[in-house]
Amino acid sequence: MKILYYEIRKNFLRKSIFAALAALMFLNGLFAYFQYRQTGSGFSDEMTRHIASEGEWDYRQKLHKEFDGAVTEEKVRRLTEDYKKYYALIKQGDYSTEYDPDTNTGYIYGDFSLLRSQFYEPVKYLVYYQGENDLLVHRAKENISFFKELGNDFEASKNAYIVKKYSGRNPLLFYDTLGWRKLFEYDYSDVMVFIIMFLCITPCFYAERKSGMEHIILTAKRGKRGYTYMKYLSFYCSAVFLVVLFALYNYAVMDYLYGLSGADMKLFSLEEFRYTPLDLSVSEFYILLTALKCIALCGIVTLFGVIAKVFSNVITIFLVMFAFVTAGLYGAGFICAINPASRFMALVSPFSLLNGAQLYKGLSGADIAGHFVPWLYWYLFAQVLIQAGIQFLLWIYGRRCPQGRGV
Amino acid sequence: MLAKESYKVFIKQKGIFFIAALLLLKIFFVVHTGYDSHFMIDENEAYYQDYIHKYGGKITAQKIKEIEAEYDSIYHEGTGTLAESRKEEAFQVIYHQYLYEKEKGGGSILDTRGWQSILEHDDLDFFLIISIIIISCMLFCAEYESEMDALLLSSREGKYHAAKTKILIGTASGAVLSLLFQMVHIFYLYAAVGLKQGGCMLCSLEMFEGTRYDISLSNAALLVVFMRVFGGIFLAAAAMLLAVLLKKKSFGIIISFISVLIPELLFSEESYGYYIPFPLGLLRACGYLWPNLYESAITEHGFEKVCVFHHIPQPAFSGCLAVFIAMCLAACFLCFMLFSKAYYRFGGIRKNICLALIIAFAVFTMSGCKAAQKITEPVKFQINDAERWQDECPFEGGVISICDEDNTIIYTDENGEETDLIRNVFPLAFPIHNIYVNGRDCYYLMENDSDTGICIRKIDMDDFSDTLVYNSTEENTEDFYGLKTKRIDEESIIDNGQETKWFFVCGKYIYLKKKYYIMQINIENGAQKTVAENVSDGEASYENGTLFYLDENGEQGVYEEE
Amino acid sequence: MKLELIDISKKYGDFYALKDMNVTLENGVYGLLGANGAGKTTLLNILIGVLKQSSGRILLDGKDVKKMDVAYLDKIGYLPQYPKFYPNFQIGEFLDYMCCLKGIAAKKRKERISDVIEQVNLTEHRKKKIGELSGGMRQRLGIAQAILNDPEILVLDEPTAGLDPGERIRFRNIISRLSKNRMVLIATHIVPDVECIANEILILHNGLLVKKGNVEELCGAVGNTVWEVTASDKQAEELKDRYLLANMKREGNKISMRIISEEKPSEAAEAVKPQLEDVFLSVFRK
Repeated sequence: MKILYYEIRKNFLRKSIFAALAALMFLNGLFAYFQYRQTGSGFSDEMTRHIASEGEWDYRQKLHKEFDGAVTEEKVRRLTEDYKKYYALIKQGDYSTEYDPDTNTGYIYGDFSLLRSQFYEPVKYLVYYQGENDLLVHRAKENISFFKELGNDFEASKNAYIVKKYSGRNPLLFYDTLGWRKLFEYDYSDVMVFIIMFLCITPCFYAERKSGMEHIILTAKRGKRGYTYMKYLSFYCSAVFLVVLFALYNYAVMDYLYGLSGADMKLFSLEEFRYTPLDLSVSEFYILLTALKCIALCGIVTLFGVIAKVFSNVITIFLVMFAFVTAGLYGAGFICAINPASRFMALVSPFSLLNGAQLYKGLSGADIAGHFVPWLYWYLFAQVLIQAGIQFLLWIYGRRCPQGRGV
Repeated sequence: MLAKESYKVFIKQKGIFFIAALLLLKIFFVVHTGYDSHFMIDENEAYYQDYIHKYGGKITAQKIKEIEAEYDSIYHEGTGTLAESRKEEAFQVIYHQYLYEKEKGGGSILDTRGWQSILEHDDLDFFLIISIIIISCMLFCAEYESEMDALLLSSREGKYHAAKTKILIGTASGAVLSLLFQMVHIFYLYAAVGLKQGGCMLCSLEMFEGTRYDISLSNAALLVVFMRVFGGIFLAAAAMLLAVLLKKKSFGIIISFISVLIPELLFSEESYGYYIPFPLGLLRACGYLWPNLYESAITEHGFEKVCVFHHIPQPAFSGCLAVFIAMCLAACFLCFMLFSKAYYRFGGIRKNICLALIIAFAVFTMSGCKAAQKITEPVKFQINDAERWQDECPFEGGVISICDEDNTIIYTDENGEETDLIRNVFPLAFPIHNIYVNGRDCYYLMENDSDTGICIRKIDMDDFSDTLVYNSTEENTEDFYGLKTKRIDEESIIDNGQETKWFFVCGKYIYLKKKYYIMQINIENGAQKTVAENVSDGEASYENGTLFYLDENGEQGVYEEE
Repeated sequence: MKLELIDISKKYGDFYALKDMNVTLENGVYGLLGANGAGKTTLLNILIGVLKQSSGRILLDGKDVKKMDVAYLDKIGYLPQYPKFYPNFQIGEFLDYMCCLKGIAAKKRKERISDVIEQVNLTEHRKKKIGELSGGMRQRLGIAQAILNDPEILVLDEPTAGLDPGERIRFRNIISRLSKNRMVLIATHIVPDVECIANEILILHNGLLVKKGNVEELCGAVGNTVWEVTASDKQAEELKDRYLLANMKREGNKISMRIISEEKPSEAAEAVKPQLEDVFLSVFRK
């Protein structure tokens, strides 16, 4: 294990890397902040402290204080009454567009718009969700017997899976979901991690060669076989550390900018995730996304390591890694594709698991001998298989290579 | 010395190979992405070119008469054949341009596609950026990494002359590469659509309505080229300075790259990117000529416009240019001073340089963004409802039909009992447009209004399994951290969607009709082939590998499978 | 030609890499001796203008070298420590490039390159790439590039490090040949390399110039302090602990020792003629 520590010490615990990490964390925060300032501009209904006027923000905060938490009948009744009151005014079209100090936002339409977009529609979604979901489950139950009679095992299995995963859903909590949505969508920190890993991994092998340490390592007992694996292990440890670090940082930044209330809120409380098969809270989902990113990064840094070893010219390494990242990201874009060829590209791309949020917005899976297997398991299986294959090839090459050090 | 240093970096360090590889990728990318166009022109290219030939150039009194006469002929005296309607579509584009040019434009009719492709896009050319950074880093980092810097500095010509030569090579490479990569694009456009009528005013392009630049299209294009050349020089100077400061190729390349990438990600659709003291603005270039750009939508308030790009005033442009020139010269000077250690004469300044750079960066990037401004205007809006085909098919005494409301397919048997054929409990991704029944297979075609792709699935009426037959919709959701998403014209989204008139599946082929042509798609390999053009909306039939259809003149056309 | 170093100091924070160095150099071979970290490379880097001194001046024939600028560099030939050069350059190519850097006229380059290659016995390897050369050949190439501009001052930093005995002898002979009408400054910690060819030795210790003189003078200064004695194992252990040991060699059951000491270490000890290595050791013991 001390070898692992020294590998980490050699490749990552360096002043230049710390400086780069500090600079990139600052930039990451800057990105989040710029995104925050652009949120709500244009025709979007999103509202942040930055974009809202003082009146709008106070009114919003007041309503959140009143309606946040458990969705009760009383709250629904009050909200509906308020909404109907404003709607009646607006419907005629002859409402005043002048500034009105008696309103909350300063304008009648402003009050209505805020109430409708920030509270009425989201609560309506939550209230109707259970009914619509129960209908969906009911149809799925009908489908089970329907397909069983016809001998279609896959469809029967799929619908049984739907019944299992979607039954009994009732999103009982209402909170502002903007922060959570932004947190799930935010992916600039992945770029930062790529940059740090590039800086760390690129000189990993050729620096040993240049400094003459390679021969010394080769003549050492553990150097000949196990040393390379320690390098990869150090890559994994560092990648996981960076992912977790940025995940925590992003959480803190988003909490500061948008406010992340209602950590216990169910994932399907967010409209984008209404059909998600997961029965997790938003905070649990974020942890799952982080875990998937860790797995993805482990796959990515393995290939970074292979590239760094195969090519000794820094520029070639940069170009190949750049091409690899571009191609990998492009392949990962097909994560929800239905074309088999496109799916295959997403399956082999280690970047796919970075798009976990996309994958969980709906339900999709493949037919294995008449059984429904969700695609996530396929992605995980494919990545594990690919990584195992690469490690196996490294081991074979290590044994056969005259230098005995392997790739 | 110039020859030696050039030989070193381009041949010995294989710089020429990297450039060649990136240039090839650029050529491939340019050909793949194509040029700006309008679907009405694409579909009726021949008619459009005829009109350009007839009416292209300055709008004279004679041309006005001819155009108005053509308008009357098409819209009031038309015979309604397909040929006429295609001619009408081509004429629509010309007439629209004619109206705009007469009132607000430059007063000329021209094929704008090539000019639009040059002037209306400010995408960064990453192939160019990477090649400039590679050359710049190789020039200096190689000396540090091979420890030749001491030898250079202790030799007569090496101390100052070599440094100046390297900087000259770097900046010249930046300029030449920028020119070269742009020429690739320009030559492609010239070959594909031509770049004629360059003497017409910039406001001949609708996007530049209200532009403050009273220059011709060719001058505007030339200006963009020169700005990007200068951007290449600026980037080279900055990359060389970073190379001298960092001394390692890996750090030099990645820091230089992210110094372009990060501002691009931050300001991808903003005009602020053109002000910041980075090469970003010059590498984009086009935005300096753009007027205010708006996005519009119909909301509860009515028609609303939001300014998404604020024009850059001429004084600001000149100011930016002056700052960029100064920064470029400063970068070159600092690079020279640091490499040749000429600052020994003036005292150590390295720490101050870094501090100054950091402060400058922080000040300029923290300048913030403005909230969008809303403008309310009255609007007229009209929609044409296209005739629907293949809404329902008879099946075993009953009928299979599309239920638009629920976006599903329903089988109504002879007793009136309804069965949902699509058993998916989740809503479908796209609306169902057409159905086709063959034997016990029910095919349904879905298409997105904003996508030219289609998705065909098959329901086996025996076990109701729903399988994918063919899909060509855009499935890739990757936007490369915001770099891929650019401003999309709403009109083009609506216009680009082409409805499928009918389709059928036979064996390994799918045949479908889109507007004026019939396409054959090989299900196995996805190969597409247009088997008939100028096809009217008349009857069509298929038997034993032979397809019968009606052409634009109402006569029967035949296509036989190979 | 006279090169004067006047009060040359180089300071890093509170640490002096060089302190108050005062020395005048003329034509001839100078050996710059010192342990690792003594300040040899620092001094050389200041001399060739790559490093700026914290204080002091360097005068060449009375003129400040700072003011001379590139005219001073014209007179310098420099071989760095462990040179890598450009591995994918051929020897001829590389020397041609160095000719450019040294401002040698294009017409004269070919002749000059052939000349220097011949001087360092690399003629038959002219077409080889630098990356394919052995350590000794690379050092010889280093010499060749250093003398391309026929410098008046030749500065060599650890030129024999890593060379086999044959190469080192060859190298010494080349230097001796080149030292006619030239100032050659060789920085090394391998004493025998300069003992045979240096006209004067400069010994640096912790950034200070502690000794200066020719071999005879320096050895004479430590005269009657170098002893040879043959002792048993037990005696040898005692002597080792008490005195500065220059060499120890086992001869059967006895150990022959060379000791540096002001007093006679034992009855059986015999005074011997000191060598430069003994001087070196005596300096660093202090």
